[in-house]
Amino acid sequence: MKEQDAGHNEIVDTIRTKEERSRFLAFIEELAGRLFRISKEDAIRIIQVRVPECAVAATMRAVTDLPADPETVKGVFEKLERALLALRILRVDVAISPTDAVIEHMFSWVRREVGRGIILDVICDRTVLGGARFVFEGRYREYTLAKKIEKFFENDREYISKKFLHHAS
Amino acid sequence: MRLDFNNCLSEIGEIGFVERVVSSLVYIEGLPGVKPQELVIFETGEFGLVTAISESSSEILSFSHIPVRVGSRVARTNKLLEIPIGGDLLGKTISPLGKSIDPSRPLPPAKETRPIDIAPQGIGSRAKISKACETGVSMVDLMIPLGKGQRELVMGDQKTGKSKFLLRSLLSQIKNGAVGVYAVIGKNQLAIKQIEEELTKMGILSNVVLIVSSADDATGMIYLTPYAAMTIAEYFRDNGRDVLIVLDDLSMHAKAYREISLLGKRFPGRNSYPGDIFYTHSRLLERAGNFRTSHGELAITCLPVVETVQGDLTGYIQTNIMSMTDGHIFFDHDLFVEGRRPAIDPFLSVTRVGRQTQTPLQKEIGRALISFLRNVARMHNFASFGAELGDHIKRALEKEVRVFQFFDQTAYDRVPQALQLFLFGLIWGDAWRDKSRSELRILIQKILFMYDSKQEVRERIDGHISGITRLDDLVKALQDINISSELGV
Repeated sequence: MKEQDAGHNEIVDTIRTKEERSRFLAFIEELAGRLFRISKEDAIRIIQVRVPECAVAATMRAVTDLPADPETVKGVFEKLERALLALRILRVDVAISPTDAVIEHMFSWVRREVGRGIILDVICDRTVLGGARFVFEGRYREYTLAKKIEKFFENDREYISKKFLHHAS
Repeated sequence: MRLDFNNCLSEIGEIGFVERVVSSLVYIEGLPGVKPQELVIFETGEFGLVTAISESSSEILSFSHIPVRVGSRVARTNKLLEIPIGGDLLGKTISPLGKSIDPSRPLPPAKETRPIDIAPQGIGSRAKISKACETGVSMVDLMIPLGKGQRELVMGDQKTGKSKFLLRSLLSQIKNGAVGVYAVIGKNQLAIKQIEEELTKMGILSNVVLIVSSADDATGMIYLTPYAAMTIAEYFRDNGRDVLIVLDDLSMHAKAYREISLLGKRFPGRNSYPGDIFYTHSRLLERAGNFRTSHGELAITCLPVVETVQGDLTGYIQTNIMSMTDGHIFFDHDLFVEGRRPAIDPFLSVTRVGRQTQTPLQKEIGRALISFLRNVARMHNFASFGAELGDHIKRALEKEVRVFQFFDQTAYDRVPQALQLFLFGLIWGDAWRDKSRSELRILIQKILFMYDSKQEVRERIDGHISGITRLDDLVKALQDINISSELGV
C-alpha cells in the first residue's frame, strides 16, 4: 500500500499543467476500461502514446508494480484519479505561446515558492503585451504591460495632452 | 469606485467564471469573498445579484435578457444593489436598475443612490392614518374610503377597469400635491405604452415616475421592479412629499419569483410557489405607511394590484396579499359586463383604516349607502318573481338607479370630494326624483364641468355643504335648490 501511495505521489508530482492532467485522466479512463483484457506490451504502448512525456517513467514504474487483484487495481486508479482532480489550478495568461522549457521553468518556480499540489493553466493572450495575469482559486492579480500602459495614460492624461499640444504648437 | 468590469476586477482582485447557465440563474466558480445580495458585474457590463452561495459555486440572478455565455468572467463590486434616485426621475420611464428605457432620452447622472431592498421602518417612526386619500371615484371615496398611508389591494379579473381606477386615483392625488410612482410589472410593451399615453393625456406624467419591466425582460428585472418603485417612493417621502405608489401587478411578480425559485431548486410549496413568497411581498408592502419625518407626517399610500381568475378571491397570492394589506377593492367581471363603471362590488370590498379619516357626514353617507344597497339587492330578488311591486319598492329601485348613475364615471375622471357630497345630497333626496337616467347623466356632467371651470360655482357648491355634519341636514339644504339659477347649468 505504501509503495502504491509513493507511486501515486510520483505520478501526481510529474503533472505540470491542466492539459497534461486532462490527458492523464483520459489515459486512466481508457486503461481502466480495458484492464485485464490487454497484454502488458499493449499497456506499455498506450502509456507511451497517451501519457504526457513528463509522467511516462513514473507511470511505467507504477503499472509494473500493480497487483494482480482487479478490485485493488480499480481502487488504485480511482485513488489516482481523485488525487489528480484535487490538484489546484493556477491560471497564467501570457503574451507568448509557452514552450516546454518555459512551462518547466514556471512550474519549478511555483513548486519551489508556493508548494506542491498546484498545476498551471497557461493561456496565450496577446492583449497582455507583456508580463502575466494570474488567477488562483478566484483571486485575480494583473501584472501586465497592457495594464501599466493603460494606467499611465489614465493617470497622466493631462500631462500627456499638454506635451502633445506643446509639440503641436 | 466606478462600476466598470475592469475597474472592479483590479480594485477587488477577485474573479469568477461562469460554469453553468439555467435561464436567469448563472452559476459561477470563483469569487471567494462574495457576499449574499452583493451586486456582481459580468465582462459584458451586465449586472447580476448573488442569491445563494455554496462551497463550490455561487448562484447569481442575472438582469440581462441576453443569455450569459459559459466561461465568461464575473467580478465583484462589493456593493449592494442600489438604484440612482433624484427629482429628475419625475416624468421619466425607467427600468428597475434606474436607466431610461428610451435610449434617446438618457437620464442625467444621479447624485444619490439607495439600496433597493431594505428593512421596513419600525413602529416608532409611524403615525396613525388620519388624512383621507381622495381617489376621485365617488363609490370608493364614499363607501370604501382610503386613508393616506393605507395599503389597499385592488383585485379583479383582467379587463374589469382596474387600471382606469388606478390612473384616476393617481390623477386625484397628484392634483392634491402628491407624487405618483407607477410600477408596471411584466406587462407587454403595448400595455406600457398605453399607460404612458393615458398619463400624458391626463396631464400628470410630469409628476409620475414610471418603473417598467416588460414580459420579455429578464425574470430578475421583473422581480426587482416593485422594490425599485418602493425605493423611489421612499426618496420622495424623505424629501417632503406624499406618494401614491401603484404596483401593477403582484401576481405577475409572484410568478416571476416562482420561476426563479424553481430554477434554483428551492423546495416548492403550495401551487409551486416557494415557501418565502409571503415574505417577498410583505417586506415590500410594509415599506408603505404613514410616517413621522423631519418634514412632518408624510405617507406612502400603496395600491398593489392582483389579478384573479374567474373572480376567485381564494387564490394563494390573492389571500396572501389580502392578509397583508389594509383592505381590498374587488372589481367584479359580471358588474363590468352589466355596464357598471367602476365595476366595484361594494359588498366584497373592504377598507380597514379608511373610515377613521372620514368626516361624520361621509361616515353617515357610507353607512346609509351600504344599508340601502343591501336592501335593494334583496328587493331585486322579489322583483324577479314578476309580482306587482309596492310603491316603496318602486321608489327604492328608482333611487338605486339614481345612485348608480351618480356612481357611474365612464365619461369623467375625477369627482372632487366636495362635489361628491353635493351630488349625493341631490341624488338621495327628492330633488332629482323625476329625472330620467340620461337627464341625470347630462346634469351631473354639466355640474362637474362648471365646478372644474368656474371659481364662483365651486365656491357656491362648497358653501352649500360646508358646516353640514348630518345626512338629513344635507338633503334638507339641497332640497329646494334651483340648479339652473344657482349654477348656471
